[in-house]
Amino acid sequence: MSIDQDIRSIVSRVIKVPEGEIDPNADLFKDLGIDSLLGVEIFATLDKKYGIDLPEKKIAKIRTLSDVIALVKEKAGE
Amino acid sequence: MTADEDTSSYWRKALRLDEPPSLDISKKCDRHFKLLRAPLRAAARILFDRICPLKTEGTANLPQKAPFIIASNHSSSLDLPAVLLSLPPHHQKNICVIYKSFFDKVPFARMFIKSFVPSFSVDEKGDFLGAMSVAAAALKSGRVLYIAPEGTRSTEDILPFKAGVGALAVETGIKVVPVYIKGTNLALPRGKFFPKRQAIKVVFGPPLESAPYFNKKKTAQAYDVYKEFTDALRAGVVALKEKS
Repeated sequence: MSIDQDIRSIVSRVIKVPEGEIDPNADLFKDLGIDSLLGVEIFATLDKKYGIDLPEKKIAKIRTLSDVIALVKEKAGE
Repeated sequence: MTADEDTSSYWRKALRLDEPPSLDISKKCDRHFKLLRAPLRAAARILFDRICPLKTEGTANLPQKAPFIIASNHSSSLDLPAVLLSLPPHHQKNICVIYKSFFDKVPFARMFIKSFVPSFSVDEKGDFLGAMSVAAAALKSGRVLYIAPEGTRSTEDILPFKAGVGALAVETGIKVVPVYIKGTNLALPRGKFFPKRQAIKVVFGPPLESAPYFNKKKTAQAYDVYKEFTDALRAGVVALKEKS
């Protein structure tokens, strides 16, 4: 499974929305209705899974699944 | 969610629970307009004595020692002073309040809140974790933390509670006292600036222990556990409302 698919699967499981229904460019908060706490839960799970330290200030700016994937790839590549 | 994916370590890190108590908490919450605090509280006391007689029930339910969280329904700008003045003096001195960052942009509102009580704002869509870590630091410093988890003023029914209070309580292991405030919505409804004659009652309920919920995270998704705790807390406030 690629990292993109893996992250999509994690996000799907945490927010309880089928993977196929998550548009990578949809606003996670406005379009998918997740709240800040569920957002934290996504990053907590990714942090645990990949052993990366996701900076709080960057997390606060994330809006879409594509943003999530880009940030994880950036931190995993460091 | 499996035990292997338990997110407790992330929360401990984000809330800085393993670090020494933050010395910044008093700078963050206390230093603003402190000289106005005593006269403002005296004015609030006069208002309650003369216009909105304040009755308090259930103070025996309050833990003797902080830290703990108090969480109430919210229907009026009078809720904060009503709760504050219902607390025993040693808890009044030790309180810290979370308010919505919206008021930071309203002229004089921020000054009024910060003058009245040590406080800090939370921006749900902004630096949510930052605000949560300040709340955790306040608790670690031995404060009484006051939260209105509805997030805004309700008109009739008590709105669903935001689950941030559940995450904070479950991850810090701190108990939460449910509080029901009656009459403030009639004394000073939304959109009004001058209170009218109306009796007000503040009822403190038995504290809700958060420790049992922490263990539930081993078998359930953390978010669902926070929601479960938050729903139980709201049910506690609703039960107080039904008895009042």
